[in-house]
Amino acid sequence: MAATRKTGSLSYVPNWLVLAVLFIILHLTSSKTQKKPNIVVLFADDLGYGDLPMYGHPTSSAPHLERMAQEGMVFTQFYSSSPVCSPSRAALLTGRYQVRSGVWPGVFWADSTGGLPLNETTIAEVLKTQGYDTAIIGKWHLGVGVNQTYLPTNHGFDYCYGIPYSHDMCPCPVCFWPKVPCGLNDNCNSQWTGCPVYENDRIVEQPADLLTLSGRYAKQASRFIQTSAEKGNPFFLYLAFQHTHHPQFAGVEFTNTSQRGEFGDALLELDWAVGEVLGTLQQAMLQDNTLVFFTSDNGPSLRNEQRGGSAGLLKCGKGTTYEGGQRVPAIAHWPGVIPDHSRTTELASTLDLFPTLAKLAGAAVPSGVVLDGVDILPILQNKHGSRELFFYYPTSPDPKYGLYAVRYKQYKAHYYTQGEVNSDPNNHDPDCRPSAQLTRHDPPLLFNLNNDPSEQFNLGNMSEYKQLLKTIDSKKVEFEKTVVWGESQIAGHSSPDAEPCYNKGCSPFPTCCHTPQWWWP
Amino acid sequence: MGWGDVCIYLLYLLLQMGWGDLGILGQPEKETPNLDKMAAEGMLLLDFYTANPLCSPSRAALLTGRLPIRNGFYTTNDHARNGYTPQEIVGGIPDSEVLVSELLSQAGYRNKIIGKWHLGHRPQYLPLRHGFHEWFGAPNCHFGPYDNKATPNIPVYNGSEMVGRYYEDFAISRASGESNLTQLYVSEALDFIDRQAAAGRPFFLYWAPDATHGPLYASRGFLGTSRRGLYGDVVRELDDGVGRILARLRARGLDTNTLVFFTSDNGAAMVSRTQGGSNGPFLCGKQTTFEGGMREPAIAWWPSRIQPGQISHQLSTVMDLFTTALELAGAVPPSDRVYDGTSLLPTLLNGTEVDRPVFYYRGDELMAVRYGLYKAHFWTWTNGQDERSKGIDFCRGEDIPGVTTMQQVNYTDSPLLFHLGRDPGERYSIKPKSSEYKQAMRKLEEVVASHRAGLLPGEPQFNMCDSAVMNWAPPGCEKLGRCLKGPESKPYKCPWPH
Repeated sequence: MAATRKTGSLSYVPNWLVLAVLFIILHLTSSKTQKKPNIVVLFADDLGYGDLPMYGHPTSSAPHLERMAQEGMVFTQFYSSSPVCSPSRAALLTGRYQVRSGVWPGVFWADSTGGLPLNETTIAEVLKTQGYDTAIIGKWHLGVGVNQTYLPTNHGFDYCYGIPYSHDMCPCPVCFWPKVPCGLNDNCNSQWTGCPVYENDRIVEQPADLLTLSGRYAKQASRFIQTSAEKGNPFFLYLAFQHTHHPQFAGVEFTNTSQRGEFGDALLELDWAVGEVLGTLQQAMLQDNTLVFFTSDNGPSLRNEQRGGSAGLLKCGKGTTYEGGQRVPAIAHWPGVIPDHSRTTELASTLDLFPTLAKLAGAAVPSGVVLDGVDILPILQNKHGSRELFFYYPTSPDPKYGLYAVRYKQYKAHYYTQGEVNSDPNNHDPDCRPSAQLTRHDPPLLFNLNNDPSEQFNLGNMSEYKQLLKTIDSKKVEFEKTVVWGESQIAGHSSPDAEPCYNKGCSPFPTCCHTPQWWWP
Repeated sequence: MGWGDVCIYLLYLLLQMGWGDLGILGQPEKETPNLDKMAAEGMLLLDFYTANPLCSPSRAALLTGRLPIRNGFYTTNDHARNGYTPQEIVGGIPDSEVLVSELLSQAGYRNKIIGKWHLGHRPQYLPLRHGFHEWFGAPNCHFGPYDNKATPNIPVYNGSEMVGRYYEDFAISRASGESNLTQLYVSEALDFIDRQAAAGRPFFLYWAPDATHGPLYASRGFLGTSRRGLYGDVVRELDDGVGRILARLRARGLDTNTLVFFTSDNGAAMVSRTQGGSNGPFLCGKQTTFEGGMREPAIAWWPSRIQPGQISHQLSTVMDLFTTALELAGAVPPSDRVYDGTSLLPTLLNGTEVDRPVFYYRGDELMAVRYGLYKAHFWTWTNGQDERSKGIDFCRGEDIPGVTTMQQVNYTDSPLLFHLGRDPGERYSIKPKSSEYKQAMRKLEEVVASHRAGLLPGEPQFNMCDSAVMNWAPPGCEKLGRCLKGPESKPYKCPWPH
C-alpha cells in the first residue's frame, strides 16, 4: 500500500518541474565547484622574524598586518628556502629547492644574463591551467635576460608591474620625502642603469620613483583584483614588495611617521599597501573566498645598523643558515576557513605553498620533477602538518659542501656555519659577523629549537644525542641523493647588454636609458 | 575619594617573566593564552620598567613608590652592586617607609599578599607589620633544601605566623620539579576574592608567585605539557592561574570595578640557560641595566574602563603602581618625601602619553637614564671574566665591544647613547660628534641633574649580613615545635659579587 502511494505521489509531480529542479541543482553545484578560491601571496623583502609587532618588536607598527594576524593564523616555525632573495623566490614559485632549478649561487644582478629556467613550472603556470588570472606586482628577481627572456610574463603571469630586482641594484639618490638622500651605507650600485619599472615586457619608468612606487603597487594590485572579480575569474596575485630591503624608503604619507625611524617608515608603507589589498578584497566581497598569505623572502639584513631589521630572539640574520637567516614571519588569512586568532607552531616553508595552492585550485602538480614541499592545508585548519624535516642551503651553495644544516623535528644540526656580509662587522653576536669563517662541525652543532630557539646550547657533543645525530645524518644523505644540481644560471652569466634600458643601444649609457618623464633632479 | 562612591578593587599580578615570554610579545611556543587575552581585552604597555634588575629592590619600589636608592634597598659595600634579601640579610623595609598597603588599609581596603614578600624576613619587616592583613607565602626565595644546621629551610607563613617550611611541609621536588605551590597560591587568591565579594569590601590583592624563579616547579597537571621543558610548564601554570583569577572576578561581578595589572620584577635570567625565560629582542638580562634586565611585560585590565586592544608607549615603572593605587583609593601619601611614581590613570583611561624619565640603578649607582626614545649609559657592566669562565653570563651570546663590558666602565664624560626606537637592542651607539647626540644628551643631562638635585639616599639595608638572623625561629615556630637554634651573632659586610 505504502509503496503504491509513494509511486503515485511521485508521478503526481509534473515532468517539467522535475527537470527544472534538477537543472537548478546542477547549476548551483557546478557554479559552486567552479568557484575556486582566489590566492594572494604578499611577499616582504628582508623582513625578519622579529620585525613585526606580533612577533615581539617593541617599536614597529603594522596595524593592517596586526588585523590579518587577529583574523587569521600566525606561524612561529615558518622557513624560507634560502637566506637570500633570488633563490628564495625561485623556490616559492617552483616548490623546489633553488639548487635544483639552477638559481645559485647568490642572487641575480642587474647585468645577469640568466634567469629562472623556462622549463621550470611556476605556481602561476599551474594555476593558469585552472582558469586563474595571474599577476605579479613588485619585485621579481628571477632574471630579465638580454632579450627579456626571463620576465614574469614568460613564466605564467598574465600581468606584471614592478622592478625586476632589488632597488639597490641601481643608483638610489632619493629615499624619503621630499628629497631625502638614501643612506651612505646602502651600497646602491650606481654603475648600473636606473631601476626599471616594467609593465609586462615594457619599461614604463626608468629610473623608478621610489617615493610613489608603493602607491602604484597597491593601485595595480587592487585594479587586478577588481578586474578579475568583474570577470568572475579566480585569480592569483603575487605582490612582492620592495620593502623592507635597504635602502629603506617611503613617500609623503609615511616619511618620519614611525618610532622606528627609516625602517619603521618603510614597514608602515608596506603595511598600508597590505591594507589596500585587504580593503579591495572586502569591497569586492571576496574575503571569504580568498587565501591571503603573508611572509618574507629571508631574514633581516643586519648590516645597516640602526636601519637594519630584527630577527627577534633568533640568531643572526640574512645570508646565514642560523635561524635568523631563514625563519620568517608568516600570516595566513582566510575568514571562514582559518579560525581567527589561530597560532601554529607547526613546521612549514615557502616550499609548501606550491603544492598547497595547486591543491586549493584543484590542479595537478607537474609530474617528472622533484618537489620539496608538502600540503599545509591541514595546518590552516588547526591540524598537524606533515613536515618534520627542513634543509638549509647557504647563500652561495656549493656541491662540494652541500647542505649546511638540517632541521629534524625540534632539533637542528649545523654541519657548516659561516658569518655573512649582511651582518655588520661589530654585530652583537660574533658568529654572525663577516669575519666568522666557514667552519665545518664534526660532530655537528646540535640545538633543541623548542627550548633554545636562539641556538645557544650545543648538544652535539653529548653522548645521549649520538643516535639522533645518526638519524639526522641518514635523513641528510637520503635527501641529498635526490638532489640533481641544476646548471647554475647565475655564475659567469653577466653582460652590460642585459641591463634593462628604455632606449636599448643608446649612449651615453647608462644615463641615456631614462624614460622621457624621468623625474630625477 | 577620587572615585566617589565607587569602590575600586586592586589586583597586582607580579610574575617573574621576561619581556619575550608572552605569546603576544613573540614567544614562539605561544604558552600564555590567558595573558594574551588579558592584553587583547585591556592595554599592553610596551615601555614599562622595573626599578632595579633584581627582585627585592624592585618589589620594595613597587610597594613604596620610591626608587631603591631612596627606600634603602641597596648597598654601599661596593660600587654599583645588586643586593637583595637572602636569609643572612640583617636589613629590610624600614618602618619609616610608607607602603601602599598601609595607605590602602587606612582607606578601608582589605589587603592580602600571596607568594614571595622579599622585603626582609626578620619579624619587624614582615607584611602584616606593613599594612597587609593577610599573607600566604614566604619571605625569601624558595632555595633549598637545606640541612637546618648550617642553613634553615625557608618558612611559609599564613598571616603573621609560619605554618611550615619549604621542602619539609611544602614539597618541591628538585628531581622532577613537582610542587603544588602555585595551585595553593591560585586557591588562596580565589578564596580571597570570594570573601571580599561577599563582604562587599574594597581589596588589594598582591599575587606574587615565584615558580618561574629557580629552582623551577610546576604541579603534576602541568609537568611535561610544554615543548620548552619545565620553564614552559611553569609559565603555562601561572598563565592558567591568571585565567582562573580573572574568571573569578567576572563570576563575582567584580571585573568592571577592578584594576588588574600584570608585570614582572626583573628581566629573565640568562644564567638559567634553557630553563629560563626570554627577553625577546632586548640586550642581556636580569642583574644588568640593559633593556633585557629592566624592561618588563605589562598589561592593564579593567573591563568597561580601559578600552580593549590598546597598546601604549607611555614610559612607566612599577613605582607608578603605587601612585595609581592611591589615586583609585582616594588615599594621599605623606608629603614629606619624594615619590618616583606617577598615576597611570590618564594613560590607562584616556591613552595619554607624556614625556618623563626612567632611571636605571644598579646598587648605589645611576647606570643609565631614558627620556623619550633616547637612553644614555653612564656606566656599563655585565659580569666579570672569572664568572664567565664558570659559565655565568648575564649577556649570553652577546658581545658588543665597549657596551657589554666585563668590567665596570665609566662613561660619564661621554655617555653611550642609544635610540631605542630604531635600535631597541642597544647595539649601535650614536656618534658623540653628531648633532643628534648633542641635542639628545642636553636633555638627558638636564633630567639627571634635576634627579640628582632632589636625591636623598636612604639608609642602605643591604650592607650587613649575619648567619644568626636566618629563619631559625620565625614567629609561630614555638606552636609547631619547629624552632631551630642558630649560631651566635657575627655580623659581617655582605659580599655582593654582581
